[in-house]
Amino acid sequence: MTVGSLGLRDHVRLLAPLFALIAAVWALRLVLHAAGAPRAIVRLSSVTVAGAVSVLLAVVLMHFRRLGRYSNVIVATILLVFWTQLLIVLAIAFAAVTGVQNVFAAAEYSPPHASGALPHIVGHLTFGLGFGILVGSAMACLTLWTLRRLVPVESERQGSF
Amino acid sequence: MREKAYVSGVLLGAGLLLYLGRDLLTRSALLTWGLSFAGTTAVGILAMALYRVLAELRASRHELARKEAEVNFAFEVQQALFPRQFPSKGGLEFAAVCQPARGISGDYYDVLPLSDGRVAFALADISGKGISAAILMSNLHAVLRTLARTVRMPGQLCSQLNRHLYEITQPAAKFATLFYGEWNGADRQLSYVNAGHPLPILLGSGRGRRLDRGGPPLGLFLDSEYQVGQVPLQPGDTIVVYSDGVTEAETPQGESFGEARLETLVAAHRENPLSEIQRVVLGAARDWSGQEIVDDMTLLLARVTGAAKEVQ
Repeated sequence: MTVGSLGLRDHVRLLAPLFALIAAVWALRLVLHAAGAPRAIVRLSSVTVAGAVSVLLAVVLMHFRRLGRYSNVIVATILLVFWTQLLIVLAIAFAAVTGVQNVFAAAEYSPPHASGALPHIVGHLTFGLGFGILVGSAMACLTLWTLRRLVPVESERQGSF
Repeated sequence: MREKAYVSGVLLGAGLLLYLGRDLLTRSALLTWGLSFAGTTAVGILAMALYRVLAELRASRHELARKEAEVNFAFEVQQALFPRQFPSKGGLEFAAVCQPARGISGDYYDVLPLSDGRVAFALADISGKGISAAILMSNLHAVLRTLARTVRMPGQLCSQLNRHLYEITQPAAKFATLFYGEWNGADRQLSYVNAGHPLPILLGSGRGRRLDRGGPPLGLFLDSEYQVGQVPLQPGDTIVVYSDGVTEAETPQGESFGEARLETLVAAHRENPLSEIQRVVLGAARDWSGQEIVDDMTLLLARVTGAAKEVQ
């Protein structure tokens, strides 16, 4: 699939550092929790915040590389949100399979009245993905719109989808 | 079109997922995610606005520096237009200076030896200040130098200069006041035209005499006629030609330096070298205003020496 002048693989290659950033925060959160760090510090290394920041950085990156079409930033958002949710789901699934608890499977982050990890995983794959994609896309488009007005890049095709 | 369909489809799918999973996560997750995305967007937009402001500030600083460099270069070019040394023969000694109010000046002075031993000198003040006045000044400088060497009659020279200035400044209605003098050392006679310029001060044998023959400022009317005045001068006589920036220098209370004060000052230092008189006059005018000068100050001093007639 090609969106704008970029194929899906190009998007992934472009966003590789941001995937790495999210993964690093995810790993840090796991480690901090496992090491018994205070709750406030664990909360600071938030994968959700890392995901949101990555979307912002992706838009800025694409804008300045003159790849900043609305459709491109939406694709980037989908990929980043998908990656974020995938990492969270992996951690929950790992806890469920091995019985070794981690921060992502902790009771305080699990859905109420749910038995087992499956509803939690499904929650992330439905609500998490849906919310992230919709709100993240809105955020990315708003950021791109603002960027085009405040920091226009030469030869930018204004208003292109 | 296909892209739009893809993206719309994905967004619709996301909406459906959101609906299906509405009860599967904690309420706090909704709040956390919402705040994360909204906060990040707000910070991002603020950062962009800040970046824009800084970029514009940098650009305007750059532009200012460029313009300053241009003005400095224009100032250097203009300084090169003023005579670097004055003619030593002909029976007149000179000293002159121009102090611009804004880097470059609309005032002009010149001293040039003519072919038959005569010496011409001029001081002009272009209306307005800054770059436009400086451009006109350089044009006036070039045309006057050409005319002075080809036209023998000062009145005719000023008429031609007037017509030229009128033609190039219409419809901007710019003009210039000018005092033009031609000194003939053989008969110690000064022929002059005063085109609306502040009256020069004459000290010595002709003290009190008004050098007011001439006509209107140059460039005001197309066909102005200029009368020529004649003044015989004796050794030691001094002519003080100045721009209105000198006499109109004002105290913070609004009192002008004035011609009377200028004349008294020059008379008191008449025996001193001209460069010394020049230094004293400009220093006094600057001290009088007590602040940064608001108009260009130009002063041209000429004194009759005994040399020319003895040579004849």
